[in-house]
Amino acid sequence: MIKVLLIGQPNSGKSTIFNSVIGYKSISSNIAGVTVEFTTGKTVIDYRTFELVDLPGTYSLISSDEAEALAVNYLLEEKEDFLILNVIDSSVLTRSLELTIQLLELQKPMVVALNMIDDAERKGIEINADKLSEILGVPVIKTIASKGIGVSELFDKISIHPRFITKQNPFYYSEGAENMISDLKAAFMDKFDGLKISKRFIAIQFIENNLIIHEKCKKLFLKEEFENIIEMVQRYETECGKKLNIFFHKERHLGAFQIFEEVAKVGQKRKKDFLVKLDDIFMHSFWGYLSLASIMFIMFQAIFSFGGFAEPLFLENFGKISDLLANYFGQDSLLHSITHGAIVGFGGGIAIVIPYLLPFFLILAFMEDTGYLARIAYLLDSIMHKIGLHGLSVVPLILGYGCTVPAIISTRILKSRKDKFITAALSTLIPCTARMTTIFALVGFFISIKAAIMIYVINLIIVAVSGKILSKIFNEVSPGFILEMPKYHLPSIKVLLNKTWYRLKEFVVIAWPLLIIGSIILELINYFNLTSGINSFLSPFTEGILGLPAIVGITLIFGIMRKELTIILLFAAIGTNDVLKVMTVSQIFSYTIFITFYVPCLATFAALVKEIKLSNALLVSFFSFVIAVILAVFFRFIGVFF
Amino acid sequence: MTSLAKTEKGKKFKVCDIISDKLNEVNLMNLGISQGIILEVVRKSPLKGPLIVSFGGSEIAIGYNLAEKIFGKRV
Repeated sequence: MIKVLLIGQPNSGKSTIFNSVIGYKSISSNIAGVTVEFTTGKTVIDYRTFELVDLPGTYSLISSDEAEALAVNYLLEEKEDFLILNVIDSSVLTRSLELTIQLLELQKPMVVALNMIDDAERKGIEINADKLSEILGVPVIKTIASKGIGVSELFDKISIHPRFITKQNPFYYSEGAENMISDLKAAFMDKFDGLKISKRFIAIQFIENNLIIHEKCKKLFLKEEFENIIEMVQRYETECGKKLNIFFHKERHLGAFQIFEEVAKVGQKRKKDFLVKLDDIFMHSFWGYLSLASIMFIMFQAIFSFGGFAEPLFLENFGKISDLLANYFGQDSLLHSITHGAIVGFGGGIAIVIPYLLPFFLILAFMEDTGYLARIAYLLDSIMHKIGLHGLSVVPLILGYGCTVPAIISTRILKSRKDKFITAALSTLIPCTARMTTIFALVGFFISIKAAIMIYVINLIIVAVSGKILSKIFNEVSPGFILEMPKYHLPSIKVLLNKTWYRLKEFVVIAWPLLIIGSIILELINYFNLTSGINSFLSPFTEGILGLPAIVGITLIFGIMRKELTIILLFAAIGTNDVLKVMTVSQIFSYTIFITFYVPCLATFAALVKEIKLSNALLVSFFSFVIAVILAVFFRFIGVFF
Repeated sequence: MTSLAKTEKGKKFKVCDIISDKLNEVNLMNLGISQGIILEVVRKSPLKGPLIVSFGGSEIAIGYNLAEKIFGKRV
């Protein structure tokens, strides 16, 4: 079996190659850092087994964020023999080669995929793959992964390659730099002899301040030995007059450029790409925002039509199954309650959430892969900045309108912990479709549509203000907004479906069990007649503070399990659909506002724990609860004026 | 010397100095932007939105605040 590590810069088409060979197990993404976990898969090509590991796209091995650090860590920890498949975007050859040069220092078997050759040709760049192969000392294959071209040749080369111990040609720095490297290697003595990575690589990374390498060294050396080495490096830096990581980077940059000159010919650009012209619209100061608003509108229409269409179909069928069971177990038995709960939970997941999630994820995948998502981040960055967030934060926030669970999961695209926490907290506040049904069924129906919309407006204001407050509390400076705008690409349907499936799977695994458990608990509460007990227990809060009738107490507990059931349960609790008989207009408004903000549902809480740890998840829940109480009380007293 | 933020659309800019924290410096460097590089300002947006610069075949968006800390000369 051959183990292949896919390493390449973001947007190089690395994950497309992985996907085309492995299939359903990877997410390919065009925004740097989205694939924060690595994915593996096995496949058999021509009777040979390959295990592929798709590491996060990284611009350099000097890690600057979680994703890149993962790649480096993996390289250091990996015990088995592996081959590196370096995927390169040929239209950005010079910059891509800077990573390739770093990879050569690993002295591992390596194959280079010169991907996106069609883009390079469109720019008039012609690359001599053989010459490049000669210079680097490794096989170089031209590919167009999105069209499946060159991929089989690539894997042919991979299967032959480990047999030949070809020495990769290491890249030589200038004399001064090389002296530094030798001195450091000597200082390392035999400490690294056990590791499978070349000493030269470790020395260079150490000099360039790779924190992971520093950590590793601290463990292997005695304190004085380590400090001596640090001093030595600092002496070099003073002599050099520049920061060493910049110094080495520049040498690599120059080297990459020289290689480019030797292997590439830049001719006439073919006529200006229509795709490039798209940006004149999508990123325009006026048309850009107009098109964004239109696209968002179309997107929401599509999602809610599909959802509205699919949901009743499912609900019908689950209703039938439930009835069947009622007949079988007897309406009033405990067993029936439990199974009914389980089915409602299970069905609820399919019927109520997935009809909306599926189109959401599909459209999101489309926007990511075409490259449009980066444009959205660009357009909204200044607004996000005012709230104290990063342009990319807009993605989780938009997702929050559909369902909070994927919104929390998608905070992975944010690099800084501060951004991630704040965005997760704010996404929780955004009303998901479950809350939307409550808002429109209560306030929209019993008060007015305008009042319902007002809740959305209030929500946005609170989100903006909370963002501002939270970022002041954190005080960490967010990293500056730097994002590559990838070329527009028509994504392959296969990759889109794989991504959508992968994300749906994530949601299902987290949320579904909780939906089922939650529903069972609710059924049991009903069965054991605990409802009035719970209501009285909560009445100091519901009546005393919120000014609501005590019967709503149980609906608040229910809402933690299943927010979309709130309204049905309210009707059931009150005993009538005409809510006005039991609650005043002001109470209806307070109640709805409270429901919109109070705590994340169980599934969202689970997602929060997964993404930002338990303590932070509790913090977010507490924070949103406090906001909900403040708002509900505020509207309770304002209500006097209406 | 002027800052990247103040450079007009269509003009070329040579990076001389970056006055920012280490993280930003490394991020910029990883994308290929460091001392001596020549960038072309392709797009500017109103209200202090990010700038789009192009070089070496790729287009990068740089936030306005960060662009104010990238100093250099027009070329």
